[in-house]
Amino acid sequence: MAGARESSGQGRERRGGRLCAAALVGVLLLAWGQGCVRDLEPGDALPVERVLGEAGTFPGQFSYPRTIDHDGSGVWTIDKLARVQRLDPETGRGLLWWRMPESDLGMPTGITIAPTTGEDGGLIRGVYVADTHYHRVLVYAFPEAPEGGVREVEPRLVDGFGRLGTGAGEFIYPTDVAVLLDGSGERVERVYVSEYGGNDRISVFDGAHRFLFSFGRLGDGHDPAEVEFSRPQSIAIDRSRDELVVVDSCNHRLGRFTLDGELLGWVGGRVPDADAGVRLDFPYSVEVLADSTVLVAEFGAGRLQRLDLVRGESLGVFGRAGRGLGELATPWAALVRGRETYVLDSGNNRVVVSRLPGVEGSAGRW
Amino acid sequence: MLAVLRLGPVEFHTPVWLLLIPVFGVWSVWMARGSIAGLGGATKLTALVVRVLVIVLLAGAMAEPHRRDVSEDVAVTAVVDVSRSVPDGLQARVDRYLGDAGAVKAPGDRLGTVTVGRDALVQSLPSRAVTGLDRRFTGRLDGTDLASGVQLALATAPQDAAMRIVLFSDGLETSGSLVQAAEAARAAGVPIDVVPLRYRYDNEVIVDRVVTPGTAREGETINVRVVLTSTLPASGRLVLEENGTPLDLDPSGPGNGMPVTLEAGVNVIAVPVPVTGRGVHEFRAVFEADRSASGALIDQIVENNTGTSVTFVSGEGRVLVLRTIAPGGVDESAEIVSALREAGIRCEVTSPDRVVFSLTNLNAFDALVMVNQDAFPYSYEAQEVLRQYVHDTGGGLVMIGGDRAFGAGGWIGSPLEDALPVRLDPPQKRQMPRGALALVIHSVEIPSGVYWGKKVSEAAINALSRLDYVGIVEFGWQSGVDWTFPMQLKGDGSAAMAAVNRLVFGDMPDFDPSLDLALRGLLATDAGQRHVIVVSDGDPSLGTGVLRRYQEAGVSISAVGVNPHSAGDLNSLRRMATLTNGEFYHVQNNELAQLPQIFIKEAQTIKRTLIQEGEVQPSMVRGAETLRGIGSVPPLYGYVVAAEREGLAQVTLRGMEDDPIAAQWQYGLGRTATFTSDATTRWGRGWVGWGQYRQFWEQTVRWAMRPSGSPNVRVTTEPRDDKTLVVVEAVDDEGRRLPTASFQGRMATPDGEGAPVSLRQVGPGRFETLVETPDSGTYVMSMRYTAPPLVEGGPSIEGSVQAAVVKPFADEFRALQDNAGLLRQVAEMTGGRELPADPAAANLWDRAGLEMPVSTRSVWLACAIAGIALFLVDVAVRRVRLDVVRAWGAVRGGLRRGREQAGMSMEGLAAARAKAQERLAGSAEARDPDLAGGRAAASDPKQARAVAGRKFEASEEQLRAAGDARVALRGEAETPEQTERRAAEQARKDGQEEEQGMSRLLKAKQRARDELKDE
Repeated sequence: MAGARESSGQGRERRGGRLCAAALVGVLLLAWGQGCVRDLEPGDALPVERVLGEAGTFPGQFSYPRTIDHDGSGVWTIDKLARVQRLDPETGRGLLWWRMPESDLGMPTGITIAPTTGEDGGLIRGVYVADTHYHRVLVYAFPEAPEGGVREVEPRLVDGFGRLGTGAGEFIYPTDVAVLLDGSGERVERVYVSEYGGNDRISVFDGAHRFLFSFGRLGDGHDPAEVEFSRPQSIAIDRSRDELVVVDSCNHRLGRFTLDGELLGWVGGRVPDADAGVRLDFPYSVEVLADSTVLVAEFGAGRLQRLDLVRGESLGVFGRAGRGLGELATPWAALVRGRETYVLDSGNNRVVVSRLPGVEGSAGRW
Repeated sequence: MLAVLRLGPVEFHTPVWLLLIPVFGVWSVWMARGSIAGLGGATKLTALVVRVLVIVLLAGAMAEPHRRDVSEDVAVTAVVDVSRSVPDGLQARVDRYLGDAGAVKAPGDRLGTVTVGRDALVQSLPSRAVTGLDRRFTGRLDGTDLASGVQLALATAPQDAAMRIVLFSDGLETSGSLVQAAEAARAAGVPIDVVPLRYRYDNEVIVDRVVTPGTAREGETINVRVVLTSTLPASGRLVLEENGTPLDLDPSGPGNGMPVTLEAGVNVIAVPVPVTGRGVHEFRAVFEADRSASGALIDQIVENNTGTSVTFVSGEGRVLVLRTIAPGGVDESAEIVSALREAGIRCEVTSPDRVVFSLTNLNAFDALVMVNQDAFPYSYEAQEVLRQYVHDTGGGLVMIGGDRAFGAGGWIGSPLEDALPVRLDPPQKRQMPRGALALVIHSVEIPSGVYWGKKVSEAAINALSRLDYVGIVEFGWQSGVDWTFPMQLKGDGSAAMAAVNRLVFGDMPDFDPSLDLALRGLLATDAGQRHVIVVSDGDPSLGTGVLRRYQEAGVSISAVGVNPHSAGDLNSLRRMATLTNGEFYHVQNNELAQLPQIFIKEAQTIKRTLIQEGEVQPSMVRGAETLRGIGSVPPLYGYVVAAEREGLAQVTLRGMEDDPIAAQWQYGLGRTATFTSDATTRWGRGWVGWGQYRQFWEQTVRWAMRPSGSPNVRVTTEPRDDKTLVVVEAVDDEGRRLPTASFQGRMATPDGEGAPVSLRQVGPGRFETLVETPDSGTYVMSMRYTAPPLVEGGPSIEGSVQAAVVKPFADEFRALQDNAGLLRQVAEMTGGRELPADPAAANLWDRAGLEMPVSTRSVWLACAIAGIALFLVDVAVRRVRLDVVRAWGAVRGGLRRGREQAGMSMEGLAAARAKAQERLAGSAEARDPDLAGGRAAASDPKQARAVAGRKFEASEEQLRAAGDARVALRGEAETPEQTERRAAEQARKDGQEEEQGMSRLLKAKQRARDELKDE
């Protein structure tokens, strides 16, 4: 009998030991999870991995940067000194830079790193600059990394298209460029350009930058059946669905279109027209994620928002307006590189690198 | 008592608490002899050590421990003298120097830059990213304030890095004291390294000064003396201009200049010039050097080749009448000018856009008469000059009303309002229709955009009356489109001005929300006039719906496009103005000074409410000098409402509700008079044909006019470094020196601030003073004097006199070589170095001699928590017996079991189970022979497992026989006797065990007592 009692007590000890071990492992896992990516409540500051850049005029510094993109190993920005900079995504060190040829009238607000058609008809790496206040898109060949540290470079201009006007292929204020490759990935099929200033529309060009068609016009977007834009500030292509996503900033909404410009639906909108599920406050950029959701930078609200455009749902709000670490002041854009989100915190003259729950960049961006 | 105790990486801020450690430590050891004597040797030692540690941690926590982190980074802030005294070639070398140094700096090194001209400006804060000097906006360069540069550099010192300052300069400072600033650097422990910018001008000619008498009589020939200093014998031409017109000094030769030959040293060239015409005569001398035989220019600095002097020529008084004639309009000054001329007052009539508003120009006149003038054509600076003209130079001002004058003309809040004997805000008691103005402010992408944005907002708010509504809308980075200043009554304007200072000039993406918000705010007021002013570069989006709502509400928008990006931007601004009946303004970078005037003019849109029209019979105040001999005045048919000014202002005519119509007062040295009705047939149709019209205006203007200058009082000025000696010589008509006189004077300075001038008598009829004239520009002195009569019963002598001192260029350009000595002195004072010319050898970020900054972080909480945690361990060690060997064995066994279990396969588990069943079956067989029989009967393993599987099961018969009785494990029923016996046996065993434990404890205690007794 005593032996039976002892046997039963040992069993309890073993179970207790297992429970303790399990609890310990659970706590460790929880702590690890907290350290990596934790759920954020709306109004929380962004968890900051690191900060790139600061206010200033030297490479690696910013004077109100307004656009950002990456090429896989470098982050590109253009600021109000009309400087195109490529930065080390880990240290923020300036790798190369150049100044736009003209900037008296204003500075570019869009940069896109994407393949372009070279002189021999093949693909080369390119840098598309929406030269907003000069009413054109300039396409540069991806510059070679200079030797011996940070250098000002003179990139080769591959092409430039557009001029001031309201006609086909003309722009008032181009804001962003999206590049579509064909199925083989060996040819630029289309180049999409968004613009505002009266021509609020999307113009579509072929790989040789010849005008194909455009869609949309200036409007306050009260009729959701109409394709009306008020400052389409950013565009992105969702290759998983073959859709074009347009950020209709001043109408506070995002639009989904087929690649031929057919309207599929809106998410958000002006109050009180807005979809009750999604409230956007001057969305300024969109990034398509690996799971075909999108990450939007809200210029007006000083935050990011992840959206499911198909279901018209908000999947999370990240960050808040402010000047402190993890707070944002008029963010113009956000891009996602792997698990890391790079927020262009324009008003604070910095790029904030953060890991956000559920946010992972898509592998193929074109 | 120790302030801070430092022990390695930890410092204690109240180390006195550490004294508890030895006190309680010794006490603990003493107490341990008794309290833990019963513990084993190792346990006892452990308990003692833990107890002491607890004391150390808790006492340490109370001593406020801080962890020290010592930085390894060094920040160098380069203070670069960019003033114009430093030759361009040397400036370029500084850029290269910093660029080269920045390229080789180590990763932890930081570089910052401050430029120094007349003002010091931070170009870059110390940063690892900065690699040189990026000259963005350097401000005025006609002066050098090295002290401000050093002080600004000290202010940029980062908290987490040691700092050095490197000063690149020629050592010539025109303001501030570098030595004093170096004292501050030394006190802060910041060494100043210096890189002297060495130069010497061997070929240089300087126009030291131009000397003319301060005053002269009309028709007199005066000597204009030009003083030149030359380093070498030189030749050239001297050009002399009088009021901008070149004088022909060499009628026989080409051009107007005269050839001059200069000796090395000081040269004085005198030019006799007859002065004709009363007023200001400004003489400007320019030396143009010849080239040497080799073609090289003898003179190297052109900025110091000019000198200016001013002579006031006295004569009959004159009045300047300012009026504006609208296209197709009438000259509103015609009647009053005619009346004044009939009265013998010399008048010059012009429009404000044709006047250069400088004190020297205005001082040619004894009074200004402004006829129905709005504030728009007068820049802020011009308004300030007008105020100084009255206050500091004693000029007279008569402001006559009309529909564009006084408060209705945007003068509320202007500098000139201070000079008027009435307040332009309506009196609080008056029930007036209100105006409402909303400002919509967008970021202005121009240099100093924030400055101009605030200027225009202030100008607009100032131009409103206290009874008007004002609100400011902008796009904030935190709140989006919102009221920076919600629509409300302006009141004294202080709250609105505070809001202007909070403006962030956000980058507005869209006009519509801002315009909508402004419209809602305006419609919520009870204002009669509602207006919006938008200032923007025009690139936000603009919808159509919002403009329609403005049209429906009858609210106008005026749009001010500042440096718009393109024609498209202009179009959207023009569209919002046109559709709402507002005004559109296009302002480029070089027209920014217009901006405040535009806003003042726009604010006038809602100021029409200040005009009171209808017949009114003014009531007269007897005894006023301006109404002398006038018994009554005709009725008026309108005026601009203003408020009476308390104090010495005298109202001579009053309108409805005692509104002041005519008023006058002494303002500083001068006098001003106001007439808020007009001088034409619009409001004064009864006055124009009135018999005493001329008398009224003559008396008013003559009352305001400056007393005529006396030709017997002469003023001369003589520059003395940063000061000027002013000498006044006063004689009577017969040339006898005045034995005594009293002077009251002021000096208008270039910065707009006036300064009093007091003269002391240094001899019969001779008075002197030394005034500060540090800045380049024009200083105008105006003095009124009174002297007792020279003969008994005669009239006392009184009058006024003016003089001007002109400093055409800064002292910056006087020096002919650097002052490296000052720089070396500063380096020596602060422990700095004179750096070599080669940046690679300079080692700018040298850490030698620097005190590296230390940051401290309080760790008292961690210390306290550790102490408390250890206290629990302390209790555990003393009260809980822990068999470490068994515990370790248990842990090891657990780990082994875990590994074994982790390594088990399904087969292994099955085999183990079968083995256990066999073991159970075997033990059951040994206890119950029946089972053995059963086992034999069931010889196959399956059957055996079935039997073994019963484990502790009883047979059906046994269960029935047992009833409520306990069932033994082996399956037999326990009889009541057996149960009782077993219980008694168990109680006996328990008692024995308890007794054994107690006796052990008692024995141990007795043993400890014995040991203590032995000791």
